[in-house]
Amino acid sequence: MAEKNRLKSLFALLTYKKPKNIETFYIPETEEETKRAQEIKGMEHKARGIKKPRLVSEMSKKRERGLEKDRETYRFKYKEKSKDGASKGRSGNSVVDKQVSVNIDENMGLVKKAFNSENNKDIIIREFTVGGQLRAFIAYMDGMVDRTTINDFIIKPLLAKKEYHEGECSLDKVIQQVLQTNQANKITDTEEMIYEILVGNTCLFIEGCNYCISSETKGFEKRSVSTPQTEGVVRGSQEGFTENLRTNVTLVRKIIKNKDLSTEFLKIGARNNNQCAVMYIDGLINPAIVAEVKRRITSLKTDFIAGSGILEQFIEENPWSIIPTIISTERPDKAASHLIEGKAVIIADGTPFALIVPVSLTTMFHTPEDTTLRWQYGTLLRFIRIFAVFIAIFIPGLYVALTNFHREMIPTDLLIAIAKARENVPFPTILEVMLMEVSFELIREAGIRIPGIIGNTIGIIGALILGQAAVQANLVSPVLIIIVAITGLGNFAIPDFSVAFAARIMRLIYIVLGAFLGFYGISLGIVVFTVMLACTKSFGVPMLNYFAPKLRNSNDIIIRRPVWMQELRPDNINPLDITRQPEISRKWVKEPPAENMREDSEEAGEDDRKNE
Amino acid sequence: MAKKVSLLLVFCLGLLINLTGCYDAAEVDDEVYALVLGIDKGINNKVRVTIQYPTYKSSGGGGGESKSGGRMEAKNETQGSIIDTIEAPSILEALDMYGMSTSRRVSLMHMKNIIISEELAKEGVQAYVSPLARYREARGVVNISVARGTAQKFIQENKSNIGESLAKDLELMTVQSDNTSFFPRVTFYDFYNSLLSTYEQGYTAYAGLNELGNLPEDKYAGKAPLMVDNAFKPGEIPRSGVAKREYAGTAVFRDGKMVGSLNSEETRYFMMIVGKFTKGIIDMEDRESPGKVISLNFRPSRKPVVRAYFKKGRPIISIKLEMEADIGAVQSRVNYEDKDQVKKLSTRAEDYLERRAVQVIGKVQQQYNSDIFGFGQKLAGYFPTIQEWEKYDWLSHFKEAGINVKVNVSIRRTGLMLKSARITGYEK
Amino acid sequence: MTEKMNDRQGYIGTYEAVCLTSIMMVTKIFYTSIAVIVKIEGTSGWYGTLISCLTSLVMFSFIFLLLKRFPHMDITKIFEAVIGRFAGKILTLLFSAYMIFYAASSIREFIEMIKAYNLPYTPPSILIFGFIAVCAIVAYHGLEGIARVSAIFFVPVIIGVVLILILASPNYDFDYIKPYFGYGLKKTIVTGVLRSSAYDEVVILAFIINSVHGLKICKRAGYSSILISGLTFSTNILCNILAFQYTAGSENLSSLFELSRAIYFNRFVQRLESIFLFAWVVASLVTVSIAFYLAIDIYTKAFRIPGHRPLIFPFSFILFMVALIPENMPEVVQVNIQFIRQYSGFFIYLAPIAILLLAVLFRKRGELHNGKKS
Repeated sequence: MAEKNRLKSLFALLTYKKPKNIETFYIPETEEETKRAQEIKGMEHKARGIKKPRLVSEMSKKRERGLEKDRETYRFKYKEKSKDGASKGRSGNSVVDKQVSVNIDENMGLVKKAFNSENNKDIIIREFTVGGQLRAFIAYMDGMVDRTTINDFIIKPLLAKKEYHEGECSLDKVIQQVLQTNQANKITDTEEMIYEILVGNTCLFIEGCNYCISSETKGFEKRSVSTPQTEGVVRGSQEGFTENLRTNVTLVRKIIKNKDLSTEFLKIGARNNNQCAVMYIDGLINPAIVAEVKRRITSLKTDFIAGSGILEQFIEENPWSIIPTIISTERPDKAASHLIEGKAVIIADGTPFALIVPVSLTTMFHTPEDTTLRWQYGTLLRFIRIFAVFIAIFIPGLYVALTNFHREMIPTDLLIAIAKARENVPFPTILEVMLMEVSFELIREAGIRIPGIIGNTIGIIGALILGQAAVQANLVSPVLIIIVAITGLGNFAIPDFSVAFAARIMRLIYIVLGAFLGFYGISLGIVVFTVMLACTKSFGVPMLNYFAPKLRNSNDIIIRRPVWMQELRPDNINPLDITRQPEISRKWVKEPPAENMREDSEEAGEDDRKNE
Repeated sequence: MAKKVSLLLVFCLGLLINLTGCYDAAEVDDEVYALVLGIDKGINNKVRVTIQYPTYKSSGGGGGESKSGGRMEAKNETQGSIIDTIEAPSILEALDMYGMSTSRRVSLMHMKNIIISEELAKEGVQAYVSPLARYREARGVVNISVARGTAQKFIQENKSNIGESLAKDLELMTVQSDNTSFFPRVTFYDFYNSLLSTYEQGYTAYAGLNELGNLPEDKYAGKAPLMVDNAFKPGEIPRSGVAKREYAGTAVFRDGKMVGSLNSEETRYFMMIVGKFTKGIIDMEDRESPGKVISLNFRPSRKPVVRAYFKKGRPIISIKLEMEADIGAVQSRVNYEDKDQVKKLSTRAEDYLERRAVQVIGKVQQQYNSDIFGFGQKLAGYFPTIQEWEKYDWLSHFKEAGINVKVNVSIRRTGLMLKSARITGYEK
Repeated sequence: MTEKMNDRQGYIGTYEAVCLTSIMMVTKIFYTSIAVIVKIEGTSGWYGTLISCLTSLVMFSFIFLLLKRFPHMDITKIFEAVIGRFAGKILTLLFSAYMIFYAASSIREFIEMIKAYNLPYTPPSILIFGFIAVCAIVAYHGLEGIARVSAIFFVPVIIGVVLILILASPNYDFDYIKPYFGYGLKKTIVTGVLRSSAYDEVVILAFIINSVHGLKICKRAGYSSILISGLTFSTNILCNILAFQYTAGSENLSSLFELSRAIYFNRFVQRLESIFLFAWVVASLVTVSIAFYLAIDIYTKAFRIPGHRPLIFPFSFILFMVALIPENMPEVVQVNIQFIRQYSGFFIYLAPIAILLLAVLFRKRGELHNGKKS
């Protein structure tokens, strides 16, 4: 029996298996496609994937329904499973009733049970009577709330209230007349009530009411807005995101004061009940993208999402791609500029980073500084960065290939110098390179982890390893030190942290390829990497857009043209409104100078005439 | 399970490639890079090959030179480089044969110069040179030259006197051709093409060893005459100094055999006609005051115009050289800066250049019968197809060609002086 | 739109289509092609290839007429529509076999050359294995991936070639194009027409027509890629004659590589040929990937197999085997490459033209879609 299975599995390696028909998210990619779609009568709406939010690659109705069903059953199964898991996991904690009851004791029991108040001292339940007769209590999470708000604006007014009509549930009145908090909602659902308490609101229960009131009392400790730690600029905004979702959303809204800027809050993480916000400009972004983003986030069934870093991994298209397909930024101004281009921004509570989707490779080399500086400087910066990427990825690999395979390419004097330097080095070049690369990475990693107080030592150690000492010990040749140092510099010049990581990995791959097959090997690597990248998509947008498939130039891809020349938004994300500004955005160029100036000059002319 | 197995398979295959992939890899210091390749006629075998390569000792300078070994050793290891000679049936085999004594593989990747001995060149070089065109490591841009005497001796005297770098020295030596035009810079690629060509014949730079004894004692008893068209062959330049090797003139080939040479002076006119002359100071005797010299700094103002046609079946070639000159030095203090005098001077320069150019062409045509000028390129247009052109065989008809030279010199500038004022007490 | 979307290949734009066909044609300049033309035609080779270019334009027009007659059908379906399912399938399979042969010969030519110039001691099977592995990965990503890769690499490759030609310009002597008629005008024209086979890769457009947006773009891509490659060939042959004369020019294994080795500006600007290696390898990889993918694609079309991916492994194996068939370098150049660049046109061009004639004769015609031509 076992042998038969083994045979089967062996056979399975060779036989043809029909690929599963997996529908993928698709929006028009090439320019021709867009045009063509517009030409076909009655299909205009599909051109940019507008009306139908999920313009999936045309599936027939039947298949669509089947798929939907599949998904449904999947969800259903998952739900059941999670329920089981939940009941096993926190048996004493499961909620009995679905609704808030009329009986206040029952409600109190409910809250106590839900939050396991015997062991959990964070939940505070404060009992009191309203109007001297009605029993009531408030429940909140200690530390998540602002105590003064509760003391002064919830408890104080409630206790101060004297007259009270018996019999009816008068929470309505309480909301209208008594509570002095800025937000207060009626809640009947238990789950919702629990969630409200969890996020730092205060729930008020009063005898005789089958609902409670949740008041906005959030007031936990949070870091104040400070400068970005990882994405510094010289000229430009110095504000960075914080760990707090609300603050972050506000920071973005502060920049884009537009009524169409929409923020949708979605719950992520089944167990930590985290929140994330999807921000986009309604009427500008392609609705298909919003729908896709929301679809991906809401479909997530996992217990813990601490912030954008984990969320990014859950929603990205191709987990195998070395290059990230989502930009994560610490800068509200960067997020805002992408929103204005018609992209979506996802901010998760817990990390000071926002995710930007969809992106293409070129956007990863942009920084806000490119636009805040004049265009000549911005373009120069971009070229430097592209050069930096090239260095960071290829230089060590090329060095290995050159010295091992293509010595005819090295200038003779340099070659003799390398040979002289290598004369006493007992390792092959590849080992030398690996040694230096590894020590460099060690310095880097240690530099991040090293406690701040002894941080200075890392510099000294680094200088020893990447310096004269290594050469004098005959461990490496001096040329290599330069190579590794310039590679490190190149790597640090890459603006996107994830791309810098990708460059580090790719560098290793190219070193290996260069060591085994020289330039031939490196070229093989380049082709493989390019085809993989060309077929990677970020929310339906090919990563190598503008190069292939070719698209209309938005004048801000590699060469940054003057801002007044950037008439178009990036075409790759198919925004609803492609024009950013009219052909003539600087009207003053065409207009005559201001009125009073002209009068002055006329007067001057008259004066002249008079003088004559 | 299936996934694991296939991953393992892929891993094994990858390993296979990796382990077998480094066949061609070699460390930089696993090889020595011969910078000069000398080819001599063999005594016991076909060919005697000499190479010179830099050593990898940390101080390449002359300090360690004084170590007294045998006399041969001192000769063979000079100033950071080693010279090896071996006799072999062919050049490529010779390179392998070095492996029996040299601890590292000899590579020609960085070869700068090929030196052929005159004796071998006169016997014909195809058999030795053309195989190099097929060899992967030999590059087309290597400079090629013919050495008087043996190549071995020439290379033994090939030292980098100025700096430590032999490679730099070799390259800059050949670049001197562009500064003086006393010898041409010919790459292996040019030479090889001309060996196959139906349009032209080949030539190389001509080099030799100077024993530094040419600076004669007072032969004329203090009354040395002025010798302006002073022409030297390598080894004959009257000088003293450190470097014994020198380049002067052109070795002229016909059908792959060296048939003669042009001296340094003639080479300049040859290079003017070919269009490779870049700049050079030419001295002329001052007619106004004999025994004194006028130095003119010549450069071509445009490429030489060569026209060729047939007149009654006889090929006629007319060459027009457009030269510019600046006055470099006037010994006589005659006021050559004057407008009319400049004109006179330029006519004289024209005559002078024309006479010399005609002489050079005549020498090449009559004495060597070798179209190193490439006049055939101009005549080929008169034949519609290659068959007819090859049938006509221009290279054998070169001797019959009538050649006219016209030189146009315009003197543009007069150096830093507007006028030569009389120097007090300067006797006439 | 709906029925188009069912197509598994995805879409490619005009620019990508032009790059796809152009890079496949242009890659020849890296190989023996130039020297062979100079050997046959002598100094007239540079305009001889323009004659080939013109011939190809005419031939492509015929193929285009055939495609136009049967809108919404790629050429495999047209074959079946005109000469019946069985014969059509056989013809289609012949094309598939030719593509394998083409890919294998190209690989072999490339390997022989890289061994000659760069990696003399590495066993060819290792080089071929690496090469085919990359081609398989590229082919795995389908037409879309290949088109994008060729669109990305086309410009750098062309820039690389132009750079070589410009840097080598001090070696040029315009007198070397004399005598103007090479080995005779007749020979030039006959060879020119024969060598139109060197442009017959343009036929791939007929196989991927469904992925290109409509006939108009197919036409534009076909004509412009033929013209681009004609221009590239002509310039390259001219530069080689100018630098090497017709005598040495016919000797070089890879004329372009030799030209790059002849670059010498001063002691700093020289030894650049290894950089050129990148353009060379990348162009060859893309070309073979296209041919390899098309071989599989045509095969799947003949047997209506959904998806090309499962076939990649067996086809790579076949490719590997076919690439190892020729015994030595002269056999590769004088048999395989000679056939592909000189005589394949008889099959590639004439088969579709014969089909066109049959279609006209039997009044067969594709149905119009919704009364509207796309």
